[in-house]
Amino acid sequence: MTTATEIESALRAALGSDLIESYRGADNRCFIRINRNRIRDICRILLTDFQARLCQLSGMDLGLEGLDLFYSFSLDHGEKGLHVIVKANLPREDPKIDSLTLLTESANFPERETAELLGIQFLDHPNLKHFMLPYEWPAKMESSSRTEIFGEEKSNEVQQGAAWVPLRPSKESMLASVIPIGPYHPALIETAFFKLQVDGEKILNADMKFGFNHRGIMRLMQNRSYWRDIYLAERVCGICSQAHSTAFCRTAEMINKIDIPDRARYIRTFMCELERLQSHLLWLGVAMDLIGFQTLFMLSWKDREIVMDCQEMISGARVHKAMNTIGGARRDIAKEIIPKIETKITELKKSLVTTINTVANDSIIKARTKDVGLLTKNDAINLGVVGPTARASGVDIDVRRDDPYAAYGEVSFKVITRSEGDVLAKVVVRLGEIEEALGICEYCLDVLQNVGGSLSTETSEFAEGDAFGKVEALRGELVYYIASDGTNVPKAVRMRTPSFNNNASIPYMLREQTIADAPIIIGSIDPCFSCTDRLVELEDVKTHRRYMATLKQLSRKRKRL
Amino acid sequence: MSFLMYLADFLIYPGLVFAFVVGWFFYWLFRKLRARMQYRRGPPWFQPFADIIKLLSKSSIVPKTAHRKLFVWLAVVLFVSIWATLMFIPAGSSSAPIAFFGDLIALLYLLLIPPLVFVACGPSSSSPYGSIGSNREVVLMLAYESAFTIAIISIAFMTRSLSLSVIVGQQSGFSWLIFRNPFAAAAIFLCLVGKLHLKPFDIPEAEQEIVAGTVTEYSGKFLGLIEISRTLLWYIAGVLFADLFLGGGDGLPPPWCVIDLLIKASIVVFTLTIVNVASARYRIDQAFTWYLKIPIPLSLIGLALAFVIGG
Repeated sequence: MTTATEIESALRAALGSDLIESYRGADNRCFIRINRNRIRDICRILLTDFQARLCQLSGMDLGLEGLDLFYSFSLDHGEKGLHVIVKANLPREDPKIDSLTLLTESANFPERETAELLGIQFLDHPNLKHFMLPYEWPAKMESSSRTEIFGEEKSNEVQQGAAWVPLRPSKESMLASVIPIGPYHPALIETAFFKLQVDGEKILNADMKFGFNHRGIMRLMQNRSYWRDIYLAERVCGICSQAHSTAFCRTAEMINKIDIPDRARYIRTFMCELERLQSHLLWLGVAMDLIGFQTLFMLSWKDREIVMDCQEMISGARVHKAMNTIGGARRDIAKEIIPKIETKITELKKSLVTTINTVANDSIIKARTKDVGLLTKNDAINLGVVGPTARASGVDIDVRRDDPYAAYGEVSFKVITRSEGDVLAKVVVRLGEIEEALGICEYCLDVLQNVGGSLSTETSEFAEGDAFGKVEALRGELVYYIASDGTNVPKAVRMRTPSFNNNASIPYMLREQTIADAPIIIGSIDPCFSCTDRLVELEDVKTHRRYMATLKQLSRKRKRL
Repeated sequence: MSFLMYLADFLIYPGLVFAFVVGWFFYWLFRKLRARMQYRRGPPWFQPFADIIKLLSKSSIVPKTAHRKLFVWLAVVLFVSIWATLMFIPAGSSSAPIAFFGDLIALLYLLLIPPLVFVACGPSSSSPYGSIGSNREVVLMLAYESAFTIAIISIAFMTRSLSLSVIVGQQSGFSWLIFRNPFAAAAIFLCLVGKLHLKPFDIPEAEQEIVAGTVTEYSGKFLGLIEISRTLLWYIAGVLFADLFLGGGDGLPPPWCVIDLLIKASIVVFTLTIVNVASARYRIDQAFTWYLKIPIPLSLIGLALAFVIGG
C-alpha cells in the first residue's frame, strides 16, 4: 500500500531543489510543482516504482506567466483516491518539455493534442503528427507561436509534408489495397476515419483520424459561470450526460471542499447506474448489429426503452436528465414514483434473462467474438485504456471502488474483470456490469425510500485553487480538472473522456485481424468521438491548386456571394 | 397461336408477371415476419414494389473508373438469366413451359449464373467494397454449390430421372421426397440460405463491413433490375424447394394446384425467415468450414441413401 506521505517523501528526495511547491487538495490529491527539466524523472519514478497510471495530460495558457502543463498520475490502486498532479511552467518564448511517450504510450495522444492546443514542443516525441487537425495542415509543429500553428491567412498554401501522409505505400505493401471506414460509413454512426491497409481479407496496418466534430466545449466553459457550465458539461455527450455533469459538479465541489447531502448522493448514484444500464444495453445492441445479429439488436434496444422510460419518469427527459447541480441534486425522485420505477426494473430484469442467455449460449456470437481483437494486459496498461476495455484485459481499475464518489463508498458491488482481452471478454464484462447496475439501482431505491433531508448544500462563491475529479463514466474513467481564480467563472476546465484513451488501442487490436472483424473490434471499445475540424479544404477546379480556408475567409466568401 | 402461347408463358404465367408478384409477396412476407419477430412494425404490403418503382425512376450513375460495358450488361444478364430460369420450374402444373429430358441439368447451370454475375459485379465497378464482396461471393459459392449439386444428383438417383416434371409427378399421393430423402432436403434448404444471402450467410453484402458488397456502386435503373432479379430469386427458392421436395402442386386441378404450391412455398419462406432472424453473421472462413461440416456431409448421406433404397 502506497500512501500519500510515502510518495511525497520519495518525490522530495528525488527532486531536491527542483520541487518548487507542494500542497494537498480535497479527496487525497497531492499537487506538486516542479522544474520542467525533471518531468521525465518524476514520471519514471511514478510509473515504475509506484505503478502509477497517467490519467490526464493537458495545459493552459496563463498569458504573461507562460504556459502551465499538468500531468495527473493516478495511484488509487494503493490508497483510496490518491492522485499526484505534477505541474510544470513553461516560458512563452521557449515552450519545450521532454516527451513522456517513450515511457508510456498513454502520453502519445494527449501530447499531440496539447501540441496543437498550446503550441508546446514535446522533445523526442516519436510520432508528433497532427491529432485533431487534418494531416495536411501546414507542418509547423516546431513553431512556438499559436497564430503560426493555426494558420495565418498569408500562409494558407498546403505544404504536404511527408510526415503527414498516413500509411505511405511501401514495397511490401504494394499489393495491398486501402479500405476506408468512415467518416461516413454504415458501420460507424459517429465520425472517425479509419484507413485499413488490407491484403485480401487480412488487415496489415491501420491508421485512424479523429477531429471531425470538435465543438470547443472546454474553451466555451472558460467563458461561462460554473452554473451554466453544468449545462455544457451535460452536452458533451448525450449518452453519458449524467456522468459528465457528475464529474463536473464533483470537481467544482472539491474546489470549495463541500459535502453533499445524503439524499443527493443516492440520487446521483441511482441516475449514474440507470445511465450505465441504458448505455450498456445500447452498446450490446450496436455490437450485435455489427456482427449481423439484427434480432438481438432490436431486443436489447427494446429493453433499453424501459430504462429510458424510467429516466423520463424521473426527470422529464430521456437523454439530458439535468439532475445535478453543484452541491447536490436539482430534482428529487419523488417517493410516489419509486414503486413504479421498482416495477419497471423488475420487468427489465425479467426480460434481460433471455437476452443474456442468448448472448452467452449462441454459437455464432461465440465464433465471431472469441479471440477476436485481442488486447493484452501489457498493451492495455501501456496504452492507458480505461473502463470495461481495461477490465476485459485484466486491468482491475474502477473509479467507483478506487476513488468513491456520490454514494459508491456505501454500496456493495462487484468489479467485473476478465483476463482474455478479446471482444467476447468485453461483452461478458458489460453484461456483468448490467447485472451489477441493476443491483445498485435496487439498493439506491431502497435507501431513497427512507432517507430524507435536503437536496443540496448551498454554495455561491468559489475559492481560489484547483481540483482534479473523476467518475466512472459508462466507457471508463472520466477526468475533469478545474482551475479557479476565485471568480464565478472557471479559469480553465480540462476534461479527458474515456474514449480518448480507449481509441488509442484500436490500431493495436485491428492488426492481423480480418476486415469482417474490423467493425466489431472498433465497436468493442464503445467508441464515442467528440472532436473537431476547424477548417475546410478547398480545391480550385481550374488550377487544381489545393488550399486551406480559415473560417474568416469562408465568411468573407459568403458575403461576396 | 403457339407463338402467342409461348409469349404468354414467358410474360405472364408462369413467367415474369406471375413470378414477380409471387416473389414480391414472398419477399414482403420475409420482411414482415422478420420485423414482427423483432418487435417491429414492418413494411406495408406494397413496399418491395414501391422500392423497385423508386429505383427505376431514378437516374443511374456509372462510376468513372468502372468498366462501363461490363458494369451495365451484368445487371441485364442477371435479370435475363433468372427470367430464363423461371421457364424451367413447374408452377403448380406438373410440367414447365420448357420441359425435356435433362432439364434438371440445365436448371443447375442456370442457377449458377446469378452468383457468377454477383462475382463479376464487384471488380467491374472498381470499388474496394465491391471487390471484397466478390471475393467473399466466390468462396461462399464454392461452399454451397457442391452441396447443392450433390443433393440434386441424389434426387435424380431417387427418382431415376433428370426431368423436373417426372420428379414432381412421382411425388403425388404424399410420397414427398422430403420424407423419402430428408438429408438431401436439409442440404438444399441450407444451400438456399446461402444462395439468397440470408443470415448467417449474408457475408458478401454485409453492410456493416463492406456497405452493399458487390452491388455497392449500382444505382437507379441498374439497381432496380438487380432488385427485380432478387425478388424473382425469392420465387425460385420457394417454389423450387416445394417442387423438389414437397410434391409441387400434388397433381390437383388448375386453380388449386397453384394455391397448394404457394402455401408450401410460403412455409419454406417462413422457415428461411426463422433461420435469418435467429442468427448472427458468420465470418467468411467460418461459413466455408460450416458448409464443409454440415451441408456437404448431409448431401453425401442423402446420396448414399439414394443408392441404397434406390428409385
